[in-house]
Amino acid sequence: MDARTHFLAGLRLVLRTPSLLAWVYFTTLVVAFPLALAMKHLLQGSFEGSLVEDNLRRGFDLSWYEEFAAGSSGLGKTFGPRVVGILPVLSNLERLLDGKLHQVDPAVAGAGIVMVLAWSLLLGGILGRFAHEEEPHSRSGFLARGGLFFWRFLRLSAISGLLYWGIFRGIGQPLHGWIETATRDATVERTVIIYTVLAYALVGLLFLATQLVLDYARISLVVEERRSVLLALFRAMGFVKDHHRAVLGLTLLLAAAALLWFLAYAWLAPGPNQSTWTAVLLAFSLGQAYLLGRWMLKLWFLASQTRLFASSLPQAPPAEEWEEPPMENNPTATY
Amino acid sequence: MKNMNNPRPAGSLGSVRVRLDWEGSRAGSSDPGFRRTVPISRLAVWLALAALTLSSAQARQAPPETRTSSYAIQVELLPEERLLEGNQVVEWRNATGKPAGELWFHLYWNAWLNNRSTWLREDSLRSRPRSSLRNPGPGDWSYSRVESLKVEAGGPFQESDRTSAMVFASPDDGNPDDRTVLVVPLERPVQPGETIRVSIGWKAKIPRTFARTGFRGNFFFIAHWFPKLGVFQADGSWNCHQFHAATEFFSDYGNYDVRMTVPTDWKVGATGVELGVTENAGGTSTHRYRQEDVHDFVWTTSPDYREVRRRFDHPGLDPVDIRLLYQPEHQGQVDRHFRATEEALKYYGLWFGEYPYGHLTVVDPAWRSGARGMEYPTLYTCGTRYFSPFGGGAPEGVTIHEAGHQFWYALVGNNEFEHAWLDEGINTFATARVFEAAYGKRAPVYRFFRGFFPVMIPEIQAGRIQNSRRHRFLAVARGEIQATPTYLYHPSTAGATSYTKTALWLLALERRLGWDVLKRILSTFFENSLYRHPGPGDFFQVANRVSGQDLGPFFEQVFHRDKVFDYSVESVSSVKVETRGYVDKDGQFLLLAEASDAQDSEKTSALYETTVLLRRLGDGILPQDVLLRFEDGEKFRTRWDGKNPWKLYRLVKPSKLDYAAVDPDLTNPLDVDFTNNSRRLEPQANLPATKWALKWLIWLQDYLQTVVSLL
Repeated sequence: MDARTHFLAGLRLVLRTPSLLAWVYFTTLVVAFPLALAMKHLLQGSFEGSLVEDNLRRGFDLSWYEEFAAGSSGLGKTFGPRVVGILPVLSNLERLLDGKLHQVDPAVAGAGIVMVLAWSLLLGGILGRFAHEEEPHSRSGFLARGGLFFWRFLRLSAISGLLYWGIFRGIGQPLHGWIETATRDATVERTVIIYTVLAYALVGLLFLATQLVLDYARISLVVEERRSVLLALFRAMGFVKDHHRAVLGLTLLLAAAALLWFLAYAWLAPGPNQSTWTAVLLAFSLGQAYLLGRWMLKLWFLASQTRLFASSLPQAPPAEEWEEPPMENNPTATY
Repeated sequence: MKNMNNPRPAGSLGSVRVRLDWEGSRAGSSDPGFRRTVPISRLAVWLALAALTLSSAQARQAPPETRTSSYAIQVELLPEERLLEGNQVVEWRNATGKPAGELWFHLYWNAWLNNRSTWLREDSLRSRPRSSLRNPGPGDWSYSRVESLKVEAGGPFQESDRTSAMVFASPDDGNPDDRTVLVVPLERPVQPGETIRVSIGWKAKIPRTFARTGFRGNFFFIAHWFPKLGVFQADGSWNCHQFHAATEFFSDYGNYDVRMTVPTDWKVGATGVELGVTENAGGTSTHRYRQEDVHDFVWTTSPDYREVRRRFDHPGLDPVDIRLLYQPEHQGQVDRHFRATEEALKYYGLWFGEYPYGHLTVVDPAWRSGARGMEYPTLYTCGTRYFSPFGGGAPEGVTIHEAGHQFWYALVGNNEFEHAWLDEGINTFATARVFEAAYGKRAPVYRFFRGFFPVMIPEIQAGRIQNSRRHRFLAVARGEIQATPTYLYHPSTAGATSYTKTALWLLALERRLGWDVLKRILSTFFENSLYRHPGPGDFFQVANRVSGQDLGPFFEQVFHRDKVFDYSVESVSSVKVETRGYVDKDGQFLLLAEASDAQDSEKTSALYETTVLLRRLGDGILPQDVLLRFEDGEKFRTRWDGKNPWKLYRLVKPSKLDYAAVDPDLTNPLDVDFTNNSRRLEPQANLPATKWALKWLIWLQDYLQTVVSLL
């Protein structure tokens, strides 16, 4: 099994299924947009009519922000100069690696939960599409497959939540605490930086390894139409172990693509100085292009992994026609 | 300070274990000195002394009467045990007209004797305690123990051992567990004009760094480390406060002659000039430093320091030899440290007065040593990070600030226990001004991944107001009356009250009186206060005299009261003037009954009635400039005395209003809401609100995708 082959096959697959990209992108946008409207209302209310408008149109106004921050609570607290350029991406990456994704405003956390549910609903259809690319497909079939696997993915998400909690809070946090203690008498910051980078790297690797296994478990659930999440997990572990070279190679290729994408955005990410509608929309579009690319990378991961997993099966999965099951037997009927 | 609360025995005090062969000072000499000459090159010592004398002679001389407390100290550092063992001779002259029956000493390191001290109790009140004793190790606590105290024979005094008479006092809060003030009753009072000499043997356990003093690894920063006299006041009482979490220090000026024994090859930096180094048996060396006319002595030692020396030269200012002790990992930032120091020496020198000592030691402390950003006479610590992008304000800001303290505190020795704002506030104001003059605006830096990796946003600019830390003031605008003695401030708000509020009201004065006037106020105050202990009244008096104005009402509001300033433009309107009723027009007597009649009549000369309602939302009162800008570009500028709760302006102009602004030039940085200082007739908030909401949307989408990346 050649990692490069599956890497490219995954890319072709994603490019051939732009509707999937559209689904996930617009789902995120739909979940986020109401909060963005609320934020716009908050911001506008804080400076409407004031000459601060001009400063915020041309760039940023730290004096206004200090006042806004001093009087803000809830959603307003999530706004600040950290939304400029690459900073939002770094903020979220930091939250992830520090295991603090849940430490956000309740409204944002609520949006996160909605997104988890939406993703769990879409994932079955996405993986089914990647696994059975040659089959005819329909929107209803896509959603039906999503519904079919929804609860299984939620169960797997609960397990993955426990695993990630273990990694970020059970290993990451104590590790950083240990560094704090071990370097209590260190007088050289560089030493502590090296320790910290190593700790982040270890946590990141554990995260990636766990995610890898969980990805293949999800793929196993769909491709092999498993009902047991635990068995799928064991199956995934076995798969990763048996095909570690291909899995690792594919992961490295995909990680390199993700890194390049991140660096490209870090280079191009717009600052705060758009003063016309055109410039504002261009900057927003650049941000959306980054986010689209990020979704594409996620799908690329899944597509490549699905192809790799499918190719490992004794025989290709049966090219069964995905038909709408009769209502009485259709477990997704409630969706 | 007259009363001692809960005086209590100073504990069992054993005999002094003198490890060093220092024998005390010469009786009858004006300064504490040393009988034994260190076995180093006499020529080197004399050359160094000559250089110091020459340097001092060239500098501005301190009036002899300001030399009140002088110290000769010999101390050995035992790095493994984290101990200091010392002996000192204190020579104190009663410069007041009242007799002193006691001597009061600070024992600062007892602030970390245990968790019952006043310092640690107060520190725990902070929202984020700075104490590193949240998880204390057994070696982290400290103490300062006086093991013997004798009055030396000389003049009217007989030799007497006062060790058993010593008691601790808690004059500020009556905390019976606080041991930061030691009172020594004397057998014979020190009469006005008399000088007493006291020899003290002491031992001190070095803390893990607290309040900028202590150790980290093999880095030692030794500040407020020896038994130190309080200040005897004209009313016959000692000003000797307990050590508080929100305060710093107060001492008399005098001379220091200090010998520090440390492991050989460890670098030493200290207040003053090094006179020589003696190598001892056992792998130690003794460094001798001396400095006249200072109110404190600090030193630091570490084997890791690297050293660079340069000379500051600027036309019209005395040269200053600068010695930088820096961490090897900050090699790339050496020039930045020197430049910031030189900019401070230049601007403070030109604006306020010359730096007289001729030498300055700049210390870049060890990583997380807790010693960053602190000032002592002729030596200060700055503080930087391994990654510290130029333009982000660090280490330049802290370097300028601490270099500035050489002027505001080292030379103008106000009482930081009671009026910390005098040096911290003036210096914060000056720091922001020097920073802008030297570097322009600062870009904010945001740190990620446990603070190690900075990202700067150069497009966002922080100016004078931000560099005065206004955001801190906003949180405490109403809450602390600045005239309250600093040691009584709440530990969480003390910084904003002392540093930020003062810096902001000085900026308000600058913008209202002009920089030339404020500069003269500050330089006059500086000149008057050199080597002295000025109080708030001295500053206010100078401000009134130099400005030629009665600034009393201003100081009353910002200093004696917690007045909040908030002026706003409540509403604006511009309505076309439409005359109704009977008018004389073109020789005719017309009735304008309908709007259309009025329009027909006035279409060639449309006028708009503009109404602007200003509000005073706070209780602070300052005259306000008011600016009305009209769509045709015309500007109407007027002044409102700001006294009434509101003010209505009604103008008829040929153009509609564009916007109205109260205090359009932001002359009052104490205003807690700049945003409401202006109002447009036609708001244009849609674009900026959309722009920033869209940026936030990108953050939120990225957050959601990050959440999904877990699944």
